[in-house]
Amino acid sequence: MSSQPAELARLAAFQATMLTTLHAGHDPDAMRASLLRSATDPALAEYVCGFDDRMLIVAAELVRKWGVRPDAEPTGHGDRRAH
Amino acid sequence: MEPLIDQSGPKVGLALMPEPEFARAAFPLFAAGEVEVAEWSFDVLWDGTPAPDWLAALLDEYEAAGRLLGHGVSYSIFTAGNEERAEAWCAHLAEECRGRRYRWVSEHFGFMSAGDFHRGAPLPVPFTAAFLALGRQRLERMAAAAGLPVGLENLAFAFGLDDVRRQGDFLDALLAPVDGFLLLDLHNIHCQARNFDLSTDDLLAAYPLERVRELHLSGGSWSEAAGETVRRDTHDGPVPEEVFPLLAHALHVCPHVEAVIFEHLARGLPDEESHDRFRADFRRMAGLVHEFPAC
Repeated sequence: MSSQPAELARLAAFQATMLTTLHAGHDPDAMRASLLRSATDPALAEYVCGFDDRMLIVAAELVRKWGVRPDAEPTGHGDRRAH
Repeated sequence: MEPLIDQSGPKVGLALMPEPEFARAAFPLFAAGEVEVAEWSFDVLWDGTPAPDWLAALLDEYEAAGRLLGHGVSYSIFTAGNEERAEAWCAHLAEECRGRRYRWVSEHFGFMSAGDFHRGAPLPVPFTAAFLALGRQRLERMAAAAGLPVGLENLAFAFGLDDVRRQGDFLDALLAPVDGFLLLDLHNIHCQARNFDLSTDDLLAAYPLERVRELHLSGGSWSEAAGETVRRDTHDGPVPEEVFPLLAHALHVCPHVEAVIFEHLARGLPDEESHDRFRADFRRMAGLVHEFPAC
C-alpha cells in the first residue's frame, strides 16, 4: 500500500505550512486558523480543530528553538534528542 | 549474536552523549561496570565531527560485547515528499551498520523536516491511511538498510487528545509489517499523562506492550503556555519521582524488555551536584530493574 504522489504532495505542503506557521506564530487561534486554511482534506481539518492551545504554543517554541533552515541556525544548538 | 536478556533479566544502560560533561558524570558508572548496555545516536556525528577518543573507546567496547544499540534522531519517518532526503539517510544508515555492529536500530515517531526546515524537534501526524502507508514504507526502507531489527520510540509531544489516544495503535500498525519493536519512553508517557490529565496505567495499556524491547527513562522540565504549565521531554533534569513506579509497572506488563536506557543530555550536567543526581537516578533505575524477577 502506498500513497499517490499527488496526495503525498498535499501532505508535504501541509507539513511545510505547519512548520512555517509554528515558527512565526505566537497566538494559538491565529496559528490554528492558518493551519485550517492549509488543511487539504476533512481528516486534516478535523485533526487541526483538536489542537490544544497550550500545545500549539509549545510546538511554536519547539520549531523556533530546534528548527533548522539552510540559511539560519536554530537557537538551540546540538542536542537533537530533547523535546 | 547471543540474547541481550539472560537469566539476570533486562540490561541497564546509558544513552551516550559526545560532550565532556556527560563523560564526567558517567565515568564512575562505566568504571564500576554498572553500565551493561549502551545506546548511541549514530547520526548526530554524521556531519563529520569526530567522536572524542573516550566515546570511540566506549563504542568499540560495547560493540565488541554485543551490547551496542543504535538510536537515530534525524530520519523523520513521516516527512511527506522529499524522498531524496529519506534515501540519503538510509544509505548513510547502511554504511553505519556496515562499519559498526549494533543489536538493533530505532528511530522516533513523528516528522521534523518539511519545506525549507530540514531538521527540528519531532511533531506528530494524524493516524490516516496516507501517513500510515508513508510510515510503513519508511520503516521498511530503514529495516532493509540496517539489516537489523528496527523499532520506533513513542513521542511525548501531542497536539491534542487525538494524538495521545491513537499513538499506541498507530505505532502497532506501523511496526507490524516489519515485525518491529517498540522503544517505550516512560517519561514521554508521564508527560502525556500530566499534560492531558490521564492515568499512566491507562496510557500504557493502549500501547502494544508485547512489542516493547527497550525502555527509556529520563527527566525533563516544565514550560508555561496559555497560563498553564506543560511537561516537556527535555532530557535535562532529574527523573520525576512518579516515573520510578511507572518503570516497575512497565517491567511487569512488558514481557519482552531486554534493555532499559537512561537518557540525560550534557547541558543538564553542569556541576558535581547534577553529576551526583545523574548517577543516583541511574542507580535507582538499575536497582528496580535488577529487582525484577528474571526469566
